[in-house]
Amino acid sequence: MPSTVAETPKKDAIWTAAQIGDHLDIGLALFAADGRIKSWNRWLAEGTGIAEDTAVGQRLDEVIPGLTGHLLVTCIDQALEAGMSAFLSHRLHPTLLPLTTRRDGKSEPMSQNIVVKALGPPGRGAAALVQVFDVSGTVKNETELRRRKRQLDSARQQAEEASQAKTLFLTNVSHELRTPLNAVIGFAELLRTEQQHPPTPEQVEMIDMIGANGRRLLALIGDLLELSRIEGGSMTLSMEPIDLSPLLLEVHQNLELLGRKSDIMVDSDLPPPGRWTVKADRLRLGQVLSNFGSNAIKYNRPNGRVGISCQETSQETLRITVSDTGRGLSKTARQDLFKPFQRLGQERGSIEGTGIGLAISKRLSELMGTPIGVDSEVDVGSRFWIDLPLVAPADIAPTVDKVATTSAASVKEKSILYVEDNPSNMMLMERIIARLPGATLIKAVSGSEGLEIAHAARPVAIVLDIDLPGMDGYEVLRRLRADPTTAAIPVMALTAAAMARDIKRGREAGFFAYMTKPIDIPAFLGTLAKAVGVDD
Amino acid sequence: MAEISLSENERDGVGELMNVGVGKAAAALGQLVKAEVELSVPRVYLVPLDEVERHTPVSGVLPIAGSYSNFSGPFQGALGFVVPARTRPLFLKLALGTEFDADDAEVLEGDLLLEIGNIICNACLAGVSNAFKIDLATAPPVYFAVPPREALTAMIGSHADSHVLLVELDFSLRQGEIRVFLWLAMDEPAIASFRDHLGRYLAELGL
Repeated sequence: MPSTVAETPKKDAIWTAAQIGDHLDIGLALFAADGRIKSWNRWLAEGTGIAEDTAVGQRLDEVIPGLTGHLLVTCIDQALEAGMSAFLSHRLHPTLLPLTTRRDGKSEPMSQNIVVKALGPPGRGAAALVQVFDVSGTVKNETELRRRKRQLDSARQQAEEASQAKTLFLTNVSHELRTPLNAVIGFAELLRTEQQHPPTPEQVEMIDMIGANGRRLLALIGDLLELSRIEGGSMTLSMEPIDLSPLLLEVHQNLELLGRKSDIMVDSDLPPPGRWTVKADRLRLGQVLSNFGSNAIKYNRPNGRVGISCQETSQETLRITVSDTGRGLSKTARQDLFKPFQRLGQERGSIEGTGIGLAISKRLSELMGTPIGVDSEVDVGSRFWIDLPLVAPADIAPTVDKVATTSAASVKEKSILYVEDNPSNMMLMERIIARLPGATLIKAVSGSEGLEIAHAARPVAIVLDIDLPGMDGYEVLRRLRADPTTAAIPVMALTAAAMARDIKRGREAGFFAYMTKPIDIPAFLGTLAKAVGVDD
Repeated sequence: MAEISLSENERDGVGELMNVGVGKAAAALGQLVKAEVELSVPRVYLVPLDEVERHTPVSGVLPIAGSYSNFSGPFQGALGFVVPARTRPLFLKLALGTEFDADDAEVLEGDLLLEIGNIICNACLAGVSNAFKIDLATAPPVYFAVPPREALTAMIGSHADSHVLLVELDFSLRQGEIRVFLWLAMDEPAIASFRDHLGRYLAELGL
C-alpha cells in the first residue's frame, strides 16, 4: 500500500529539494496549511510567467485570479483540510493552469494533468503538493489518431454508399433491359410456333436469329451482372453431373449460325449422348464454351474453320478444345489474354465485343475449379481449352419440357387476370393466353385497377408485374390476401426484377410463383396450370 | 478466516456516514458534469474478500472499471468506486451527455472514472473522518479496468483475512439511473479498528 507521507530531504544534502525541483520537467508547487504557496518551481514560473518570488506567500487564486472558485483550488483546500488527494484531467478540464507550451516553433495552450497530493495529517502541519504534467504531445497524438479514424470511417461509409449505388444501378439496368427483351424473345417464339399462318422455313431461320440474338443480349446483361457478382464474391454455382453431348450440340449449333455470317466453317467432333459425363455448372460451362467459340469465329480469317473436340487427358479428366484457324497469338498477347478488357489488338478494330468474355470465363473456371488455357501458334491458329472432371453418368436431372407441354393444354374455361403496365408485354400475354382454348385474359394496367377487377371477376389466377405505377406488386398481393373474396386466388409474379435478392424477397412474400422476364413460355404455362389446379 | 458481520445498528451507522459523504459528492459531481446529480441512500454489506463477486452483480470475467484511493490513518485500506461492465457505456453516456461522441467517450472513460471516483471516495472518507473525529489521508486515485478479483488485489492485496464493506448506491444523472458500488476494503485489524470507532460514534448518538 503506498505511503501518503512524502520524504523530507536531509539538511546536509548537496541539493535541496527546491533546487532539484527546478530541474524537473513537471510543475511542482507546495502549499502550506494556510493555503499559501511555499514553493513554486522554475518550470511553473516559466510556463505561467509568474516568478517564484511573486507566487510564494500567496494563495493560488490570488496569483492567478481566474482560478477563483476553480475545482483545482477546492482540491488543494480539501487536501489541506481533509487530507484528500485528487487527480484532475485535461480531458475534463480544458483550462486548468494558464500554461503554454512550445510546439513546432509556436506557443500553444498546454494540456495538463494535475495531481494534488495531501502531505501529512490534516490541520496545522498539513501540506499539499501540486504536480502538473504537460500532456500536450499525447493529446496531439490522440487528436491526430481520432482525426484519421474519422477519415477512415468516412471513407468506408462513402465506399459502402458507392457499392449500394452500384448495386442499385445494376438492378435498374437489369430491369430496364429485360422488360423490352421479354417482348422481343416472347413474340419471336410465338411467331415461330404460329399455327394459323405458319412461317416459311426462311422466316423460321430469321425468327430464330431474332430469338438467338435476343437471348444473347439477355446473356450479355447476365454477363455484366455476373462479372459484378464474381468481383463482389457473391456468385454461387450449381455443380452437378451433366451429359456433355446435348450441351456441345447446342454450342455447336449456335456457332454454326454465327459462323455462317462470317463465312467460317464450324466443324465439330461431337460425342454421342451419354459418352461423357462431367461435373460442372451447366450454364457456366456453356457460357465458357460459347465465349471460346464466338472468339474463334470473330478473330478468324475469311473462310477459316472452327471446331469443338473432346479428349480424355487422364482417367479423371476430359479436355474440351475449341480450335480456330485465326492469326494466332504471340506469347506476349497470351499473357494478358484472360485479363478484363483485352481485345486481342482489336481495341480500335471492327470486331464487336467488350473484352470481358475471357475474363469472365477465367473467373468462372476458377470458381468451378476447372482449369482453362490457350495454346497458340502465330499465323496457324489457337486452341482454347477447359479441363473438366469426369464422373459416372448417374443422377442427371431430367428436363421439364414435357410437363410444360402437357400442362399448356389444360388451362381451359378459365379467366386469368394480368396486371401489367407495359403494352408490349400485355400484348405478348394476350397472344400466349389466346393459344389456350377456353382461357380468357382479363387486363389491368395498374395495381388499383387489378384489385377492383380481381374482386369483381374472381379470376382463377392472377399474373402480376411487380414494378407497377403507384401501388407495387407486393402491396397488390397484400391487399388481395386481405380481401376474403380474393384471398385464395393464386398470384404469380412475372417481373423483370431478376436480381437474387429480388427473387428471394418475392418468394418470401407469398407469391404462388416468382417468374422473371424474359418469359419462358413453356415454363410459364406449366406453372399457370399448377396454379389453377389442372396440372396433369 | 474469522466470520465478521455487522450488527443492524452498525449497518445503519455506516449507511448514514456514507450518505453524508455521497451527499457532498453529489454536489461536487454536479459541478463537474454540469447537471443535477442524485445519489440514493446506500445499502451496506460487510463480506469476505472472496465473496465480493457473489454479492456484487458483476461478472467474474468481464472487466469492471473505476478508481480507488488508498487511505491511511488509525485504520488503513482502500476505497474503490466501481462501475460494472454492463453499466459502463450507460455511465459514460449519462456522465458526458451529448457533448462527446463515442470515440471521445472511450478516451475519456479513464479520466472520468478517476475524477468521479476520487470525488465520491474523498467525500465518503471525509465523512468518516469527521464522524469518527480522526484524520484519514488519501493517496492520489488509481484507475482500473480489469476483472473484479484483479481490482481487489490491486486495492488490498490478497490477504485471506481481508473484508470488503460493500456500499451499493444508485447514481442518477440527467435522464438516467445506474447502479454503482463503493468497495471499502480493509484487512482484519483495520476492520476491528473501524468497528471500534464506529461503536464510539454510535454510542455518542445514543445507539
